[in-house]
Parts: sequence; C-alpha cells; structure tokens
Amino acid sequence: MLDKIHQSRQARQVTGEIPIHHRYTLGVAGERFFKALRDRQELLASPCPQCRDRLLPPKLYCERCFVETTEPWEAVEGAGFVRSFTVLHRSLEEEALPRPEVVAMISWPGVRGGLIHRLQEVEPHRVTLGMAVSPVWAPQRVGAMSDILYFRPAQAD
Amino acid sequence: MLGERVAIVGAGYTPLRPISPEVSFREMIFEAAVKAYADAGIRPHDVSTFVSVAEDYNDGTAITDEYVPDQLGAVLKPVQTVSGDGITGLASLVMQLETGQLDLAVIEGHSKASNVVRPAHIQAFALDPIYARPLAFHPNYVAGLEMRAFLAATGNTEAQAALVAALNRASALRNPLAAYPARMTADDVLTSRPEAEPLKRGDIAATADGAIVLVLARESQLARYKLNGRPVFINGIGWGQHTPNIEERDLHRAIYAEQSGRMAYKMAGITNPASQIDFAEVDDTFSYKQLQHLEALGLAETGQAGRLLEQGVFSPGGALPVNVSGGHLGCGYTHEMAGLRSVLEVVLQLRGTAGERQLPGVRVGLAQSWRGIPTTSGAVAVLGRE
Repeated sequence: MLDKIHQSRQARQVTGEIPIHHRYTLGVAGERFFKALRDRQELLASPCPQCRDRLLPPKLYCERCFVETTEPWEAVEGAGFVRSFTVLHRSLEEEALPRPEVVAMISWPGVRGGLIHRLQEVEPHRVTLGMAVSPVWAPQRVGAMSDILYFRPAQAD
Repeated sequence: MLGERVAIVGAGYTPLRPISPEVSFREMIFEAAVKAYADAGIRPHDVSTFVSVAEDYNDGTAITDEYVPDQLGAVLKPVQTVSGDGITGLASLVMQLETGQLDLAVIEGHSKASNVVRPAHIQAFALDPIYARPLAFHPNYVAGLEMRAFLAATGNTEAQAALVAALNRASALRNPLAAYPARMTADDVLTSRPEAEPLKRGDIAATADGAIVLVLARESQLARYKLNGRPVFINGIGWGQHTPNIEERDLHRAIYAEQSGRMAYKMAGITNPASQIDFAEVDDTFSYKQLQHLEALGLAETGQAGRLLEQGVFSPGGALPVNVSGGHLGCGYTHEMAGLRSVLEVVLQLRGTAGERQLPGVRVGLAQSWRGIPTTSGAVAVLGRE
C-alpha cells in the first residue's frame, strides 16, 4: 500500500469505442407520413376515434386511449406555432456553435403532438412562444426529417 | 400498505469526485460494499439477493450486469440489474423482500462518468431515431425546451432557478462527500455561459464519480442479524413514467414525479406532504428541475416553489429543507447512482450522522429521482426513523 499512485500521469487507462450500426423501421405510420412529406409536402395526422385527438406524427394507435387510430389521415393545415423553444449554443460534439441555433417544439391548432425542428430567418431574441411558423421544404426530398430544411416565421398572406 | 416493513440497515459509499483516474469503477464498488457490510455488521454471505442499477452505455460495456457480482461479494447469489435510476432499483429490491422469502438484500449504484468520453452521444442515442435523432442537436435542447415551458406556465423565473444552483452549491460546502461545493451567487449562474437558453452552464449539474452500497432488511429480521446501525424505514416508495415521445409531453410538467409521489404517499399514509415531510432531497440535475419537482411532489403550490426558495423555506433552517446535501448541483450528477445518493443523504440525516449539516429533530424524509434527459421516468422514497 506504500506504492499507491501519487502522480496522475502514472494512472493508466485504455480507450475503446462502441461502433453501433442499426436499422430503424419507419413502420406503417412512418411510411405513410414520410411519403406524404416527400411527395405532397404534407404533414399527416392520424385521428383517435376515442379522444378525437389528431396525432402528429401520426401513429397507428393512440398511446393515451390504447385504441387504433382511424381514417382519414389528413394533412395539418395552415401555420404551426411555437410551443416552446431554446437557443442552442453547443453542437453534439460539445463544440461552441459559431451561430446559436433556435430549436423549437412546433405544433398546430387542433393537433396533439408536433415536430421538433430548427427555426431560422429570425433573430433568436425575436422568437416568442406562440409565434406562427411554417416549414421550408428541401428541393430534393427523400422521405426523411431532412425533407424539412427548417421552419421560419409564417408569412402574413 | 406494505405487508412487512423494510429498513435500510447499512450504508457504504466513496466520496464523489469529478475524476478518479487511479481507481476502476469495480474497485470503487468494492470499497463501498466493504464499508456497507461493516456498517450493517453483516458479511456478504448473509445476503440473500442483490440489485445493481446501471446502463450499458454509461458503463461502456454490453450486458454490464454480468460484471456486477464479483466486487459485491455476490458471486453465486441472485443478482438483478435494473436499468433505471437508483430509487427504481430500490423499489425492485423492496418488492423482493416483501415476498417474505428473503432476509437481507443489497443494492449497488456507481458512476464512472469521467470515463464517458462523449456523454451527449449517449443521450442523443436515447432520442427517437426517426423523428428526433436525425436533427443531431446537442441533447440539452430537451431541457432548454422544458425549462422555458415550465417558467412560462408557472411564473417561476430564471433568477429563481439560478438561485437553486447557487444555494445548492453553497450547501455542498458542508458535505464532505460533495464534488462541487462553491460560494457563488445567482448572478454568477445567470451570467454563466448560455447552453440551451434559458439553460446556462451554471444551471447544469456536472457529473461525478463514486459508488454507493445500501443494505436492506425486513423488520422482523432486525434482531436476528444483530445489526449495528439505527434502521431507517422505507415507509413508501413509488415510481412513474410518462412518454418517450417528446411531442406528446406537457413540457412544463414532471408527470412522472406527480405519479411517483402519489404512489409513495399513499403507501406511507401521507395526506399533506408539505407538512408531514420534514426535509427532502429532490432531483436538481438542472436547476429548474428542483422547482418543477417540488411542485410536482406537492411540496410547493404550482408557481410558488421559486418564491418559497427566496423566502428561505427550503434552506437548512427553513420549514422544509431541500437538498441540504448540496443536491446533484453541489455533489455531482452520478447517472443511475444519483437517486441512491439522495437516499443516502436522507438515511444519514435520519440516523443523526450528517455532521455539520445535520438537521435537528427530523423524523420523515423524502428522496426523489429522475432518470435524466431525454427520459420522463423517476421515483420517490419516503423514509422514516420509525
């Protein structure tokens, strides 16, 4: 016990990594959501026959009522609104972002749920709760979240 | 009501430290286990069952429960790993003892957070892989969204959240276990580096390394094993989970804490928590979480937690001391062990062995845990001297 390590550089370690590769099945509801996103630039919601909520992203079942959702799956209409937002200063790699990014939880009237996405074309200090926003679509869409480039304040038209 | 009560009869722990480069996590557990068995006055071969709380990704090992028994003296004994926070693991152990088939039980929690090179990647990996993860945000955004929604819905303020961090860091000055004691002001927190606004660096508990082992026994077995210490009874325990889908959540509410509180209170026969609970250790992984959890647990009316904090109600000399240990902000956040660290503080206080931070005359204490972002699960234990 007299030979305990007393200098930190004497403490040894080895490094390792966990290289994980995986597939994630979109599922029946996800297929339908992302096809509508890609082909028609629509955000589909699925209705619950019991609580009458319209779920976004759509699901085959309502998690609160535990019943299957029914037809028709209709696209949300009009502008979304900012339910909450944060101004993010750090990347996933723990580096300071050169420009802070606004990340918002966006919902639509008459819809339960919503989408998380970045908010651009607005100064962070001008973003407010309830602000009306709409998606900016990628010109080439593949049926993934990246089909929405970002959201921006809705145009008053 | 419980069929037969369960008591915590031994506690062993290592001090919490920001880094621990010279000792492996298994060696830390060994130290905590030896201390816990000496504290209880038992030998590990007296123990009937063991529970460990751990996550594979935090340990850096797949099927990490295979690595549990050796350093606990649990070889060839029933061992179960609960992939959840410490108090959820404790609930599992209480239920095992409630069967009446087992006498002595042991729970272990540990953190070697300093070995996790990219913790944000692990949290990001816990996000929905189809809708949320592809955006590749730093996962602290979830806490940023929650904090803004919570403050807006309840009227608590950023300054009050900052005060949580300042007070807890100061309380940690009286806790020799704590990794992050500091004399700081709410202003220091408010002007600290913005991370996921309104969340700032000072609002976020830094991680720490350490290990905790607790020994449990059924009440009828206390005399039989000639246990050393004063038993601390688990009079109520509860757990809860909301939804993994962030868009389905009421971002301002900690529904898991409301649910687990109700469950634990019912078991403990508590009808008015604010007056029947003498002190509490609640999760403060992020400063606003302490305010949100206090309101969810009925220890403050909705929208009042920040004001009561400013009035000193939750200070060591107040009517309902909260996080007298320093909380996670002062002690360090310790992954799955975090809930057990809160339980440990309640045990030390109820035994009357909390040193210079000892609260006078306390009989009933509450410990509450949260599994961290992006989860909505947590647990509550109500502990008593009798």
